[in-house]
Amino acid sequence: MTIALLGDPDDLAIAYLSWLADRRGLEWLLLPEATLGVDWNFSFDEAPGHCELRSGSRSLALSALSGIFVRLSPEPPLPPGLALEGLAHTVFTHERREGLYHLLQSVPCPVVNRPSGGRANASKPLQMAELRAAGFTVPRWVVTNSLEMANAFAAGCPRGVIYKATSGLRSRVRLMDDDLRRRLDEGTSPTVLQEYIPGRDVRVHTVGDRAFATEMVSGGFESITRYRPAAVDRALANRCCDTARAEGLLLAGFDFRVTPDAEWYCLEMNPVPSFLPYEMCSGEPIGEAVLDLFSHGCHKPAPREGHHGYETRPPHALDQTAARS
Amino acid sequence: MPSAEVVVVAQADDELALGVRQALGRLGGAVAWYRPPELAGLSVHLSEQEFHVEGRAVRTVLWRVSPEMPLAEGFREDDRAFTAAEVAATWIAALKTTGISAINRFDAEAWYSGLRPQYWRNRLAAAGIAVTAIRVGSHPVPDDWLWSPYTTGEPCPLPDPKARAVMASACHRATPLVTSAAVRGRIVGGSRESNVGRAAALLDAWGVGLAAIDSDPGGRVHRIRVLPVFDNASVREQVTSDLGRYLYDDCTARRS
Repeated sequence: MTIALLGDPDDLAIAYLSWLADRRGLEWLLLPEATLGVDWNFSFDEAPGHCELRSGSRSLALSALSGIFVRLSPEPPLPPGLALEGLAHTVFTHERREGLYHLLQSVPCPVVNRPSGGRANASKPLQMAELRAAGFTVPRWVVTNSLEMANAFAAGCPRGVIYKATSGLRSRVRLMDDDLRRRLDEGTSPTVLQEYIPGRDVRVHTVGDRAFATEMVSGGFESITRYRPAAVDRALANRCCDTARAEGLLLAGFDFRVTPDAEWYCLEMNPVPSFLPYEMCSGEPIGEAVLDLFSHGCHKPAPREGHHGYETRPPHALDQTAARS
Repeated sequence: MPSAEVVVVAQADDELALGVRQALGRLGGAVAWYRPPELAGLSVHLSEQEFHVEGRAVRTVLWRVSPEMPLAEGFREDDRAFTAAEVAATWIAALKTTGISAINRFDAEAWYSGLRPQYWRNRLAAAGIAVTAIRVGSHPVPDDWLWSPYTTGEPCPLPDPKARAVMASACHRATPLVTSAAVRGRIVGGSRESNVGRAAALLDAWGVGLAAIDSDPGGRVHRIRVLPVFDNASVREQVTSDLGRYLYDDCTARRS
């Protein structure tokens, strides 16, 4: 069994997976994006199905891979010795990235994650609508750049309103404040306003059919966040797994706000979750679950309506972590 | 308010969109036309049920925008990329609102994959559509083959093998291509091969009611363009007429 770790070799999740693979005695290949075509390369011919991966002196059929774990850098470096600037740099990195996407969409093994998975995360209103359609409870929201409409929405939310970016770009989540009102008054881009939900924060990671819930406990302003395993309702855990699978994600991170009366509000589903802090502090074996997924290898290409990722096996009993609930 | 107001988002010189506007005008329909760079300056309000632009409810949209187009004219240069992402995220969500019909109504997977030709090829192939053969990466290819860059899809001469390896380039035979216009799942002009017709139907099911499908003479799909320009005047006339009729009827029905 050989697994591939593709993308940014400095990514901690890639380093961690390689360490776990060593502990299991699994063979792994590191495929840095920057050295594609230099230290490693791949080729495939769609007609006769000839697909090959070469790394150093090693050569193997792409079909022999048990799984690929992907972490791509937002600013991938150029190959060693190549100097490009401006448009040429942009075009080159786009071409190379698209070539990798092509590879990841084409290989038959499990990929964590294929680039087509979970794209709605880049449009928060779209993802919130999809999460509601999937059966999750989602806080009320609007997207607006009208001060009048923002005030009207806030008037209907007695617990308060937060605002955040509409796209997938990182932004601070803040309570609606005079700064936002001023910017809306002056004219700004559309912003997500969402009903504030008081409660505790729980992240549910899904890995295939398994779910791992972790509660984040903040000790107060500027203190260190602590993580501890949490119980999650089996039906909700199943819904997370089903939704991630429907979105083509073998690994996903669902963020919940849980109210004092145990209502679980889903805030978002992350297609590239940083699971390491949760695993390191809570001890939940998320990385091991990824390797299990590669070991079991029962993922067959099965196109479905509206998505060209690959179906995972049907859900079965959740693992002990989820079953603790 | 006019009997039917279709929102068109397109560049000012977009001939296809101009043709649709003419077709709508012949039917008595009105158009609110916004250029992509001015989207960030519009007042918008989106909820799960409705989308309002400049205070008016949006029902029917002709969306001729690509992810690469600038959307934030008039904003500070260092704010433009962020603003454009925010605007795109809003409109992509809005076009999926149940109360809105749009051509094209891209899903998140398509939009955030850049609407690139290779993306559509892969998606169609995974759904069982026959596609032309390509060789990717460092695989040897004959000298007379062509390279279709992922970013443009426009066939061009082969790069050298080293460059092909570092870019995982997609290369293919120099095949004559037939361009078919696909409008709401039907082929308006071009190939009569059933494979092309099935591709058009699938694209429509995925929200792509307007596309150009380039196929080889046997009907194997080579390239999909979802913001197509049709050089053939009669095909363009047919496409704009069909789209105008559809958008007018849809808008009128949604208003009533």
